[in-house]
Amino acid sequence: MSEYVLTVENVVKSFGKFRALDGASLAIPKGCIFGIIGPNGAGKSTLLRIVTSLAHADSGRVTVNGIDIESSPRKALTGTGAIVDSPSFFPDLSARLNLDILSRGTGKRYKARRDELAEYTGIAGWLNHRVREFSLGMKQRLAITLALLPESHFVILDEPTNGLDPSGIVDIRNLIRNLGADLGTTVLVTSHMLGEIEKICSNLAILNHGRIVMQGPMEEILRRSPVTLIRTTEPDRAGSLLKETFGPRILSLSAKEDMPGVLRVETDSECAAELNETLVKNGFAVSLLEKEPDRLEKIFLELTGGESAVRKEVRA
Amino acid sequence: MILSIYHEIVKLTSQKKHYIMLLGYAFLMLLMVLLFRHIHEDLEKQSGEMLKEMPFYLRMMAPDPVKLCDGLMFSRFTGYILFWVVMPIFAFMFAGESIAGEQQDGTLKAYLSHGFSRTRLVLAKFVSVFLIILFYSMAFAALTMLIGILFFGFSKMQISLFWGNPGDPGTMTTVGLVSAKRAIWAYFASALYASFAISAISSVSFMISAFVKRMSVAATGGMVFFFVSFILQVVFARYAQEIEPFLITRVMDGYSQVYSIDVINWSSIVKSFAVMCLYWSVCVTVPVVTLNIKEY
Repeated sequence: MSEYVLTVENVVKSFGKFRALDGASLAIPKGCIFGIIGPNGAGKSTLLRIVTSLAHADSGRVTVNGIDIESSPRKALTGTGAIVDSPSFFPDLSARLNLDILSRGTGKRYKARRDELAEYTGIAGWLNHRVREFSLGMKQRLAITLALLPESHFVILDEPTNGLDPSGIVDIRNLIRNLGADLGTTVLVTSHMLGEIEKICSNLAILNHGRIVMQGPMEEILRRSPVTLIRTTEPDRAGSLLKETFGPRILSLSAKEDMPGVLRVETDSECAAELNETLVKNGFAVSLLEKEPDRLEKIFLELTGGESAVRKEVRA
Repeated sequence: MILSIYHEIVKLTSQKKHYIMLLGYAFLMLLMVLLFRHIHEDLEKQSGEMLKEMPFYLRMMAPDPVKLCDGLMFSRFTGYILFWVVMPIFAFMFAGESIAGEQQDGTLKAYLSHGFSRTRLVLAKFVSVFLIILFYSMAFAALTMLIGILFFGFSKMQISLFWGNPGDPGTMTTVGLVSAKRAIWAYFASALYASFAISAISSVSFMISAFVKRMSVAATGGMVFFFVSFILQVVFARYAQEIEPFLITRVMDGYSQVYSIDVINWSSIVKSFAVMCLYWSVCVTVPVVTLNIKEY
């Protein structure tokens, strides 16, 4: 058995002259919550459509659960639940009928699982209501229930928090985070909302111009060139001291423009405690010591190039 | 497969189109009852004159022409409009909705991304549309007869007619009398035949719905095809002799044959079924192939 639930190898997909995927490669280990972020037009939706056999790659190979998606799509997608694009249901049918029809579920075992999952996702009391009456947040919950129904160990969710209000975002975020812990499900999430991806995912891939420009565990990515913000007395002298003491470990050191008296120290590895100790031992009073916020956003901007690529995040 | 067909029927029956369909049917019934009542009144006024003009054998068998114009006659007369005009329009709507409607609202993607067999999906949709047409054809036929009997009574003898074209009295090639039992059989047999024919006619919309994302386009496409076929068969028949056997409206020819059960032209009915099979085969195969190669 493969240790990866999904592998994508050098996948190319073009629409006319536009190359939506240009040799994208990634591997999703079992049991993780994997996020894919990328600017508009980076190829996220195209990649998901290929992974779910809604579209075919021009070249390259995709395996789901170790099975080639092109040669055996139905076998490969067994045990995989996917919601591509916004969740779509039959508005005049009840949530229960929608689940039954879209999952083709039948039998006692299926019904027990459906009711159990509905309880888990918080829609148990709404199963007999028509989907027309559902809010977007409820539809997302229903979509997640649907994705989990075919005894899924791998769930693909495309922009699951898109269009939700702040409390809806928090609810869906918690639900997705718990999927791995409670049900052992591997989850693939795409989003524009970097903060959400940072909060939800254990692993991350950044897609730009049809290529994966970075992937790995979230912690490692965030730890890469960590930035510490330090407010201290005499920041100029403090900066010189840190440069002398840490030498090449400090990759860059500058005054933070929007926070007077604060130094922005980029290091090759996590060393906030050491920076603090050095300053305090040398008589500097440190009144602020913290990791630079929105680190993922900055890494994303560095790799994809430009503020315009980032959608403004709705903060919960 | 049975589960898939059941699900498709559940989806189709949940749509509001059914209310429109029932309203349309109710409106048609209202108009037909008013029209038939008017005919009834005219007949009552002229029955004496008409009796004198009637052939001797008809006068002997059914001396009162008003009695011949009963509820069953009403339903047989209404059936023509119902199955030639109203039901095809509804069938185009259902067939057009089948695939295009789901492309339009995104639910088709939800199906396909779960790895369902696309061939089975198309077949289930096609069969469910046919079953809906069959159900409504038979239900409307029964309801129309009940309404007719309720308003215009029931007579034991019925006129046996062969109407090639309801708007052209010259095409009444045979007139005779048959028992009511026989006429009821003919009436329901023609409704059953009509459901098959309407299914073949609407299969054009079904095929178009695999290519477009709007059900209205698929339904309209089918209607245009139907009316062009009708115009070619009726108006330009002289110039369309080579393609005439393949015209979709030809399948309705058998309706008149079954309707006048005394003079069934089996050769014509077999030809009509052959044309139906041709349309069914093409209009199912094309969506199966399309869905299997199309990207979503």
